[in-house]
Amino acid sequence: MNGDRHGKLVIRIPGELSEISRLPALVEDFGLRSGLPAALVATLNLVLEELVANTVTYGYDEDGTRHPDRAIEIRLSRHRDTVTLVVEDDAKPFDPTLREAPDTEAALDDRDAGGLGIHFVRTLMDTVEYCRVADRNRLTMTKTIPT
Amino acid sequence: MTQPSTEHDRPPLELSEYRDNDTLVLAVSGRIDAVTAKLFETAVLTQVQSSKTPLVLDLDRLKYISSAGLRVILLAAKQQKLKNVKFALCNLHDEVRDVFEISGFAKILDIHPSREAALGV
Repeated sequence: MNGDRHGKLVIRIPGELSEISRLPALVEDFGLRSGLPAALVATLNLVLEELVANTVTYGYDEDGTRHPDRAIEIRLSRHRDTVTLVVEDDAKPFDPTLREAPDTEAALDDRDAGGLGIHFVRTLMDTVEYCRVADRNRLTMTKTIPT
Repeated sequence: MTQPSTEHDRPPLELSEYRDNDTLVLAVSGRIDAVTAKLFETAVLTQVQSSKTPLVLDLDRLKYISSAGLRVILLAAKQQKLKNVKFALCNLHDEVRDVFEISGFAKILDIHPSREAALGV
């Protein structure tokens, strides 16, 4: 299905954990319009959830997962064989690319679940770049569409 | 509890319990994400913390899991191990299986291709 090889999705969501429930339908619609394979859509869904959940849970000074006055901006686009995902927020400065990866070889007793979200993002996307611009965190990720 | 009439009416996460002799099978349907993980956590950890019941998680109808769900599974695995009680998973498919592989959890959990295998039948 190579009909439309260029597509774009731009959404702004409030900093609320419940917004995670809304994203899959939007991403799947983008995937259909842009001719993306189902596996790639699944990857984007997971990556987006992990990033939004982290921001909402840890990114603001106030506790909790409901920050309706804060916003997260998501930009998804396809150009030829590359999908680009940009996630931007006004949360505290945080560069996920600096996080140490979890030890995925550790035994059960030594494992904890910390850092898994970021690990998925860095493992599943081909490129992950962070910058802090105008008091905002911006994470730009790309993935090449398998032929 | 009314039955949903279409796929759209189904709740995002559904849990069903089955008994096989003294083993409890928890069949999970839908998605475990950061929002539905609370319900999943309550169901699993309540069971694990209150008894020494062998537990099998059947993920046959689970379509999606994120780190929030893995966290609960890891906790349950550790607690069952402390009590020397079985904790097994079965029927991991597609993206769910990939998530367990990428996280390294596939190597440290008792995972089986079918419910029969997980029950040790």
